[in-house]
Amino acid sequence: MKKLLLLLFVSICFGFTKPKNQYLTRNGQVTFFSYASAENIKAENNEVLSLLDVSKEKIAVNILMRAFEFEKSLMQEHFNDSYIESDVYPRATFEGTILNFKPRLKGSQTKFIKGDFTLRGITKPVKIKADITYNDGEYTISGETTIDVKDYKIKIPQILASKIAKTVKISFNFKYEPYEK
Amino acid sequence: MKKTIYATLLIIVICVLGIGTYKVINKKIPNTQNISSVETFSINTIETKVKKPENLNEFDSYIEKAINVKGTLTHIKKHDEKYILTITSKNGKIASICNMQSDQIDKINKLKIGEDITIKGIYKGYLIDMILLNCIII
Repeated sequence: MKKLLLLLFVSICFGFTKPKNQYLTRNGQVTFFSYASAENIKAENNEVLSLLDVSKEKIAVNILMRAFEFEKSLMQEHFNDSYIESDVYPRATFEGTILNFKPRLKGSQTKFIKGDFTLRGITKPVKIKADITYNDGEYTISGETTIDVKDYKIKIPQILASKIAKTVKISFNFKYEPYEK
Repeated sequence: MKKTIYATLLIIVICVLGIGTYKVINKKIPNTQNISSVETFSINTIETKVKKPENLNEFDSYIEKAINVKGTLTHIKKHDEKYILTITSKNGKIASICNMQSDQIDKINKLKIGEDITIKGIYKGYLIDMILLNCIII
């Protein structure tokens, strides 16, 4: 009986102290910025879904393209209808591995995340430098990268080609909370 | 005389076209207050209908349209100056994430978690939750 109680006590204690492995955000932020001679193009998405699995050192990101907010209506329309074709390709995804990740290291660590980014149905390997912070049992991952518009076959009308930058800067900030299925 | 009339008309046409183009290019995102909603849904009814988030594609015909969603407020988050409210169904399987218009701050400050609310917003699609932008409390 004593052994059983001891076992129960140990398993309860273990249950309470067992570190969480999966972390989720439904409100990750992704912004993009593209320099244009006429007017810079900027948009923000605050509804990005991301799952971080610290035991597997993996991260997955899912972005609803229509959830990017622009200041101007026409820019938003062109982005969804002409450039991204959001009806056909509603989501962009990223799946990657955090290299040399130290999951339980408190404070901040700068690491590379290597993975595949899919936009408009085209998948390309990418390597992104990110700051990972672990505090009070929660993770934050932030960083930025650039993508080349021609890699994802984003069609820019000839008349605008010389006025719009060939690369787009993408910034992200994900604040994760422990996740239990 | 004729030349003067033609020149004046030409200037007027150029001005009208110029102003029109400027207005189209610089048109701001419309205020949801001024858009009529096409449908009202209860988040619990949505849960009963779709059962799981993967089936939310049934609502794809509402993308880019204003809809009303009724349900229990479960989260209020603030990102920079933006407020994001979450309405969750009774069994927690379906949620609606509502990115609020900036003129809603006073109303948001009066809300309490657990309260039943109705939100009007532009439906953008889903990931594991329904996503609405430019939302207002009605």
